[in-house]
Amino acid sequence: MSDTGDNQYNYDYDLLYKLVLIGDSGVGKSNLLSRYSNNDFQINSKSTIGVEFATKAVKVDGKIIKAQIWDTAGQERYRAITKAYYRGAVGALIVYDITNTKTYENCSDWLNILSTNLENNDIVIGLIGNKKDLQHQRSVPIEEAQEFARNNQLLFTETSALSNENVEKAFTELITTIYENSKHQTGMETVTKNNSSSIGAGNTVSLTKSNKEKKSSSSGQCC
Amino acid sequence: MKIIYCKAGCFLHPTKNLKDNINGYIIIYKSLDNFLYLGYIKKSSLTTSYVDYFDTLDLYFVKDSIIDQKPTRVDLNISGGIDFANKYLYYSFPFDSINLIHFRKPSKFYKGSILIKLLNSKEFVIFLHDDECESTKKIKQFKIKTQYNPFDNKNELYYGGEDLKRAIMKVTPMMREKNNENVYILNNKVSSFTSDLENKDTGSFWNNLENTKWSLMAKFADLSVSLTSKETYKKNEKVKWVMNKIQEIAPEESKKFIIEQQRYLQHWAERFKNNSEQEGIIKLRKIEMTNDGKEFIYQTERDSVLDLNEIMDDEGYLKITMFELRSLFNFNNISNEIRIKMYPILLGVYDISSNELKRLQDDENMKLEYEKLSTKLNLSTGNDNFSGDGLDENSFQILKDVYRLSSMDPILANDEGEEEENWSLSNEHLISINRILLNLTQNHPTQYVQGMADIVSTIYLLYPSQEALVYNISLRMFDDLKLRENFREDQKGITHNLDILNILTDILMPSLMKKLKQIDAENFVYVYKMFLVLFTRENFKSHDLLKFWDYTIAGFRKYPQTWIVLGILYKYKKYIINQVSSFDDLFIFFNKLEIENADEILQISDWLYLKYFNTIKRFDMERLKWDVDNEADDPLGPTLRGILDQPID
Repeated sequence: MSDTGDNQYNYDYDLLYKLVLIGDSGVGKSNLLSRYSNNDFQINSKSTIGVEFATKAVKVDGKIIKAQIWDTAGQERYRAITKAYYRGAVGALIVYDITNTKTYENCSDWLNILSTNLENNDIVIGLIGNKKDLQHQRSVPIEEAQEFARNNQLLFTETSALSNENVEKAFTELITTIYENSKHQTGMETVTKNNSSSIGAGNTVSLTKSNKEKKSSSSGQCC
Repeated sequence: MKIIYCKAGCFLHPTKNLKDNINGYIIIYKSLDNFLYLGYIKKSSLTTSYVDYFDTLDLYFVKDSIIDQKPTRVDLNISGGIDFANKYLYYSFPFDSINLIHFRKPSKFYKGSILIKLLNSKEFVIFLHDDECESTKKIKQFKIKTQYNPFDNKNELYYGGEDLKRAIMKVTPMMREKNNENVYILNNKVSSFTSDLENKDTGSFWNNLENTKWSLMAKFADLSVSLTSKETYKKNEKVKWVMNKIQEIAPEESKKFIIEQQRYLQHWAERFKNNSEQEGIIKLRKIEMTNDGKEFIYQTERDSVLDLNEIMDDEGYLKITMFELRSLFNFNNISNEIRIKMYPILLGVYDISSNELKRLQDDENMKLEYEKLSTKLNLSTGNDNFSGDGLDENSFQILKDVYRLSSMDPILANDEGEEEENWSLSNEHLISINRILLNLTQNHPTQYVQGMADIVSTIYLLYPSQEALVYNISLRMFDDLKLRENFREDQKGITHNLDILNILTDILMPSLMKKLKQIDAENFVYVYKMFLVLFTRENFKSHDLLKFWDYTIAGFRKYPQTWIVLGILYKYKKYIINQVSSFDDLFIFFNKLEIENADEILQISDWLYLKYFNTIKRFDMERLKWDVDNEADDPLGPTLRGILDQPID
């Protein structure tokens, strides 16, 4: 897989994946996105109101995949509105702050919100422990998060948007897993740029995979 | 004969066509046999000198209406008083023959009027065209300058019926009807004058007046004021039918209708424009009428008012009325200097009649009050320790968001080396904003919600270091302009705004609505943020954000943000219909949207407002054909009518 750069392939891609970034307020979702899409980090990025949006094109197996990433507001008050944007998502990253136990504890809530608001359960979900650079303030043990990820068949990575550690990896794993699953299920031919809009409706691509498959793709992915 | 009162600009409406209206004067006079009469004189029957004379009389009685005093009596300087009466009075009848008079206030759609019911059950309606009555204009101008508060529903705008009522009360006792405060009873039993009146030659004229129809029209006027219906737009089949019919109006008919009815809306704006131009104060923008009612065509930028001295004198007194100020902010581009000075006045932080000295005193008092308020802040909020340690949830959410404002503007930058790990604030301006937000939310059930910091910080950047003033402006915006409603946990405020947007889009841009329904996008969540934080700088290519704020803070429209969003939807309507193929596409479109010309959007907003006004007016005209005996049966309902609420009404 290689980064193709967004601008170059803005209107030229083979596959379109809608991904959502969710998690409590202040865990670093927007910075993860800006680091991934623009290699940029703002120490004081403003809080997200509603939903923000970015894209990045990547090459997987010779195919150009456009990742359409929806960054949602984390504050509880916004949940009613942000869930309107989950529709059609094929991947999700649930983000918590490794220095803030509460944000980790709320991950199971976010998982429930995802499952109750998605028509298509065949979605690939990753768990991300962000702010890895703040090791001295860590309050969420990595083993505990790994266990949670395994039990819920999630991909798992710890990242630092500040130091740009594992950010690319976290997104890449998510996108690759979605790609591999769709390849298994559909022979790769279901979603192309010519009917990419239909992916938003969630009725063209099937990402169903067995629990075993899911488990294998999540295990061993932690840092 | 002696004339006790005269009022110009009084019209009979024999048909619904404006060209058939009959202009004239209402007079109260005492006959040579000492009986008091109410009479109507048709202007076209008078010679030029008489017209001048009655116009002068109209103005002569102005002081009676402003200052309560005994009625002035004027001898009509004409020989043969009885002959005059016989020759020129279109009709007249003694007060003893009047059963009651219903004084109808003007509404958005109708002129004020009086319905006179005689003891013999005959009814007559005279419409009061306030915009064509010089005395009413003067009285209204006087009242506006001294009394008018656009946000106070009880302090209703003056209309011509008031001074007529006052004049009648001076010559004959009237008793207010217990069930309708606008109905006054003069006589309850048939008097000896009845037969005389019936013999008088007034019947032929009134029989041809289609009087019943116009009494009916007056009932509509009442309806549009009282808003009694509980029916909603969406559920009412009649409304749907009429609305569909309105949408199908042939272009020519529509154009004719719009041109005809635009006058109603324009009267106010035109009059103030004329007055202002005469006084050399401001130029109010005239709503462009060159558009044919089908499509908006942007032509020129709105007028600009840039010099504070144009609206404020050397001592800091405002030269214009509150209404003019609201008009100014709604219809014009203004300088930042004017904006900074006027926001607190528009929001009622300073009194409209204050001068600079008084405002400085107010500032001092505000500071003292604010300091007291701040000392009451819960100590666990980190009031003295601006870091994240040990804060309650509300305070921590505020601190976290305020910390992240530091990238918004150089003056808000936190010191170098501050780390996110403890969210500590070192910048004095950020500390001020943090404290303002704590004061705004700590004891309010809505508490802090993300987005509030964006609003407060935008205000703060207009008034840096004036913490108490920023707090008071923010408080007024949150509560008087109801911005806080949008943040409620139950989503009531924002849902209401999006519902109104849905209704208006359906009526004004049906083709767009059809498209939105096709892509499941009629929930309008993609413009949610525009409502919540009053748009953001990212929405603009230029520095036009505050033009939208001006339009909102003007207080000239009940749903200013909705009209702005409608303007945006209209501007990009064709693109959305032709290029957008899914909900996600639409969201992405709005997410990336950079408005090139805020001026154009605001002009479209006003144009759409006018279009909606005309639609409702048309609807009411359609209703003439319906059975409207039941006054409570207003299928349009208060929601649709309420959209048009504005201070000028």
